[in-house]
Amino acid sequence: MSSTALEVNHLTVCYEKKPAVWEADMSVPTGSMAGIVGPNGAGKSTFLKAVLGIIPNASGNISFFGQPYKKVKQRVAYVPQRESVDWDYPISAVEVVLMGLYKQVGLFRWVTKEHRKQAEEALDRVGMLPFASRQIGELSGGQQQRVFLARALVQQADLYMMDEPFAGIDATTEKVILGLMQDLKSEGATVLCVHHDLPTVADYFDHLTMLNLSVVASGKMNDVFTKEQLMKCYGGRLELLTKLTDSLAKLEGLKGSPTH
Amino acid sequence: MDISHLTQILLPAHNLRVIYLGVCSLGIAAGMLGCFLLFRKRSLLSDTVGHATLPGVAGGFLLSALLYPGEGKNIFILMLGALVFGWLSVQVVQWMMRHTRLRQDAALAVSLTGFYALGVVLLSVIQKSGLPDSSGLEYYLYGMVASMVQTEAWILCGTAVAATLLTTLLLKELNALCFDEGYAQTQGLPHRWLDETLMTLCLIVAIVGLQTVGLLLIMALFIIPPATARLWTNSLKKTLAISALVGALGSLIGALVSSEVEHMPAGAAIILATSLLFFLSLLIGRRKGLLSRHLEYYAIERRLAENQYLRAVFDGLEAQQQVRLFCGLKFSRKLAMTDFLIRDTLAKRNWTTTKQSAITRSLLKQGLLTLTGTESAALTDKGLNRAIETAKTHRLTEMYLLEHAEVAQKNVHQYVERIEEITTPEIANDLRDLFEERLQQELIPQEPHEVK
Repeated sequence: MSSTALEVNHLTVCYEKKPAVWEADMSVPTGSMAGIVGPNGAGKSTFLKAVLGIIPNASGNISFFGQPYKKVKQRVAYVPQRESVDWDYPISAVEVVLMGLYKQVGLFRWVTKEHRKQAEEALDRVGMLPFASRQIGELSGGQQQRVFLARALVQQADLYMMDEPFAGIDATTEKVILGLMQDLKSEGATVLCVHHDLPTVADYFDHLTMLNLSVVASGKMNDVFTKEQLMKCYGGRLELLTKLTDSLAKLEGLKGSPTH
Repeated sequence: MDISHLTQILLPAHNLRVIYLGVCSLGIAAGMLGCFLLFRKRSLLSDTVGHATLPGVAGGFLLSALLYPGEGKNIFILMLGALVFGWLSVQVVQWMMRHTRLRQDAALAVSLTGFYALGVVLLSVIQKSGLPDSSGLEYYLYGMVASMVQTEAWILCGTAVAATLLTTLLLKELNALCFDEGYAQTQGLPHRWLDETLMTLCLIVAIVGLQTVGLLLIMALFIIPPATARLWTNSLKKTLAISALVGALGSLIGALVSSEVEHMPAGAAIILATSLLFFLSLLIGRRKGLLSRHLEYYAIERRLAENQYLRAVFDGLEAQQQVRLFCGLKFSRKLAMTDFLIRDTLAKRNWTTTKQSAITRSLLKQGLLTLTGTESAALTDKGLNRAIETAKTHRLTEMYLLEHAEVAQKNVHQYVERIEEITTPEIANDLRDLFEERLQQELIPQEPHEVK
């Protein structure tokens, strides 16, 4: 297996000629728990979508496990932002999970009992089996997020790309998702996650990309998550930085070097 | 209406049977495909397409008069014109959204009104020109069932079969496309091809049905049936089936009415019948229907009242047992099942006598209470269990609000009265977990605030 799960070179994405992501370079080593952070409107979701070909890019090279995306689509699982879909849609939790198997089922074919069993197992893994037949609109935000996660799990991918899985969810779900991400990592999979909550970044991930239009810094957590880089990425917004120094201190503490 | 008339409706002549087959097919195709328009949030777009076919129809008429003078209007040229302009209106909308700052609603409105105005101008040109056979053109506006010929009926039947086949064979792909297009794309499902097939099929059905329902209302046949179906079910397959059924039923009723009543435009009759089915569903639909919502509300209110009743009984009996507990004796189930005076127990609740006896009757019927005299009753074993559960949840909720949510002592009571309605078994379980330690010490916690 290739040592880099994802490599992005010179990625530029435009919305009506205005760049939303500009000349972004980054790579994610296989087997890492990688986070993408950046201020609101920095283009984090756009970056993820462009990498997955959901929105067209103006220029750039993207490879997954050393190969073009088209060849390895099934090895990459995408967990979109929860707000991106209509939750009033007539579908049950287990049917959402089954979507992760559609490609495997094949065109013009119907889902079998075996597929349903796989979907139920995935639901069980995120603790949502009792809600399998619920309409998705009746689930809480955290439960919806777990269903999305189960849909990615059922695909048994090598790279999981998640868009803000921790946004607006309850404590139980946060624990479940984090536990699962760690399980996936120990199974050898790679996780790439857009994240919004800076205080937890250092706890959750071991690889970090700071994005603000372009990639400010990308690499191992300890190298990237520094005061200088944060200043650069967040443009020195002080009220935020005070919060951050706390969490930085925590990281310094973990590293074992003296805190200031 | 005499018997022979009735048999005429039930066992129609051949030409009428053809018409009924045609409108039913149209209803099925439109109802089924309309579901996907609704899910893809394209309902307004489709309406724009409907109106924009007018210049196509008028232009097609002029063209056929030019090419084949004296032969009357050629249906296929008219349909082709409608198809071209329907397609054109979509392109205009997309162009406006891409190259201007207009939002979709404005772009749709501009396209709809612009093309429709062009159509009206062309129609007036036709009327002034005195071209022969121009009288039938208003059918394209308001719809005409009686003029349906066998060819049209078969085309409609074909589109219905095609729509059914497409949705059956590609149901899961369409499902993914409608629910989460971005995800469908990452899965390598043929989303673009599917979307185009779907839209093309919709356009074909709409244009074939144009003369039957009329271009002003044809899109309602795509929009109202799925909206009706959504009031009944939460399953995709059932939504599709119900929508097709509503489309077929509405079309059939409308066609019947319009062939019975003189000068009744078919399109209006069909859409009115479909709308009636919609409003009926709005009232009695199982999902979000007004009646079912009312019944649900009524059931919750009733259950709440029952719980309040049982809690009042329990509080009263518990007060009697306080002395026992104080002496170190255990809570006695047997004593808790002794009789109580109904009126005294419910004194604190300002219930009317009607409500008191209604709830009493309900509890008796469920076997939670037994009558011991004319004005007294006692809990049954089952009743006591539910009373204990209710009291426990109620007090745990109060404890939670006091200790965790920091609600002031004096406000707790009024909060809990309302909260009880929404305390689901899940929440009750969470509460029990939260206060697990304390529940081990005492099975039923004491009222955490002073009872007035």
